[in-house]
Amino acid sequence: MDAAEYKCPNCNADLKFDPALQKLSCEFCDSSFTVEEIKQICAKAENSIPDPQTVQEHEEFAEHTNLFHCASCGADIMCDDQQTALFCYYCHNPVILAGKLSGAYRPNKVIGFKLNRDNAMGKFKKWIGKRMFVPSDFKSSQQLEKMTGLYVPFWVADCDVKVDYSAIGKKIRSWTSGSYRYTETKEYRIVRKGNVLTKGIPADGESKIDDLLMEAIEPFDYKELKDFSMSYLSGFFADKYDVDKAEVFPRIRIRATDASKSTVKSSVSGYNTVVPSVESYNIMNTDWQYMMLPVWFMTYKYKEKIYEFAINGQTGKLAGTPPLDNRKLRLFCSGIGLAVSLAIALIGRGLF
Amino acid sequence: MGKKILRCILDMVLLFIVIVVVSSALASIPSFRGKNLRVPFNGDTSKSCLVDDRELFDSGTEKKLNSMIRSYSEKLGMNIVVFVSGTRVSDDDTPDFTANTYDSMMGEEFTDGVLLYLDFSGKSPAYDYLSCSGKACVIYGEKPSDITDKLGSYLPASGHSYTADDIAPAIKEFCQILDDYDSKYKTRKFFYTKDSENGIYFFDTGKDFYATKEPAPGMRRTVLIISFTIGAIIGYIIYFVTRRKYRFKNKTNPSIYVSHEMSNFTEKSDTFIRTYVSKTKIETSSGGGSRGGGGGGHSGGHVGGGSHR
Repeated sequence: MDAAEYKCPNCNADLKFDPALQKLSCEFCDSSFTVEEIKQICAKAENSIPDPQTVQEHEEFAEHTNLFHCASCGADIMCDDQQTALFCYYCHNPVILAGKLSGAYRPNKVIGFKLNRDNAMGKFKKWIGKRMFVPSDFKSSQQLEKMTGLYVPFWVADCDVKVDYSAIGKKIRSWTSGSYRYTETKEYRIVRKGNVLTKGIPADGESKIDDLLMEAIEPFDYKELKDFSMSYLSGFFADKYDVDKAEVFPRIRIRATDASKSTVKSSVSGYNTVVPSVESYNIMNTDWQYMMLPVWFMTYKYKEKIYEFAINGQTGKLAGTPPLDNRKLRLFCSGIGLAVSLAIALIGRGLF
Repeated sequence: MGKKILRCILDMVLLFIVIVVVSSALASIPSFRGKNLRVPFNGDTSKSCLVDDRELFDSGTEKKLNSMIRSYSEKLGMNIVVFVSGTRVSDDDTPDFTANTYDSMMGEEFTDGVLLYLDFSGKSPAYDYLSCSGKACVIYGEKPSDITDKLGSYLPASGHSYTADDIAPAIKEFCQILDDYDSKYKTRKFFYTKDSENGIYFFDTGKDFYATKEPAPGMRRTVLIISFTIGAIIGYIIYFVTRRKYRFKNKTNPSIYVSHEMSNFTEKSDTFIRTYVSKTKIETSSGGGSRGGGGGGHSGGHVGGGSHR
């Protein structure tokens, strides 16, 4: 008896047949496919054997990459064998050499830093300059020194989303005649079926860095993507991924679905109300790339909370939650409140 | 979330209590009181009397009433004038008329005393009025019309015939009411009355009665409470608006990742199904108006009130 085993084209987990849906479903990432769809996808896939050049690149990467481990926060930092990492970019505690990395961690692609340290610090100073109520030492040069050029590991996905959308749209027109108000309602059946392709949705493979922070500094310009070379690491740190593509897929799926919804929504216009009856967005296939993207990264510990800041090392887009010195703000607001009170009291002759 | 809101409400209540306490303390500062214009009663009761403009009373009755009025004047420490008017004065002019009559009789402003104006001019309805000056503004000035209302039951209704004997009991009752009010009077730290037209405040600090152009402590306290409350609200608004700026924002819209060239709809249709028209009758509504009236004023640092009979 033949036993066919199919892998999920999105996250590579085993697919199981769901009798209720009459589809092959992935328990890990919630994708589902008809038997016909999965046969088509599998037919396209080839059993690839690693070519000798790839093997050589992996060996070279393993040989020339040092891995440092932070005993305090658990971060793993990579750098080339010419450089020695002394402090953890995340918690600023000393790190120790943990050994070499396997070639499996070698990224396919990389975008080099375009922003140097001075540019990044300038952007940060400008951003923080508008915020009066941050703690005083947050603006200190000592704090700015903690800004680290870091290659963050990203899983970048191209998703083929199958769209099945039906809705009832209403166009409403009103007018008055005599002592009556007339309302004309025209109903339309809206159908959108097809494929939406999302290209290059990134998701960072580092559990320590806030996902929203990395999303906030997007987008990266993939036109400047280069094949990975160890020379890009020179002078910068790099993170070893600790979240694999199967784990980041739910995040990718949400964003790909949101993007598809937005595409469908933009194609439906001219209606006063739209009530969907069918709305299905199914990711049929995902192409992955593992790449290193440049980020100027800084953390600041204030009242036992770690505040993370990131600047896109390519575009200069900055994101982060500024720490708030509540005492400063309260003092300021009390001052304003008191000044307003005194002004009103003087006008109303409450005083003098 | 609930705890946060509760704490915020508790903070605001505490802040308001602090505002009231601080405002009261500030309003009570003696140097804010200004010059006391009041002329205290000097013990001379000769100016207290019955003025029989209507010429109703015989000399014997008038003498008796004068004697009674002066004894109350001595007891209460203020001038008391009862003016039985036979001259027609409009309701609007009555406050000014009574204030001016009292001041001219006493020879100066802000003396302690009252003038009861009893309208027997033949006007219908008659308008009786109590004008207060000096400390009387504080003791009787909160609602002087209450006193004239009470006297209404002792006085003949306008249009009815009357004699001096009908009016004398009302004058006696008036003096008794003044005495009752005085004996029940207790200092209220932040109470005041105001002659709005002349901007004169009357209040009692517990040690002395005051008539000042500077706002009374009670007025100051109200202004300070309002000022501090507005200041606190503005402070809170700035606090919360600023706090919001210290939250994380900047989410990237994923729609930038859609490849429009490589996306296509195999089926894209907007099919007309049906149309229907509904009609509703437009309800017409007619609005009503309202009108209100205003009050009059008087001159000379008096507080008063009256009632129709």
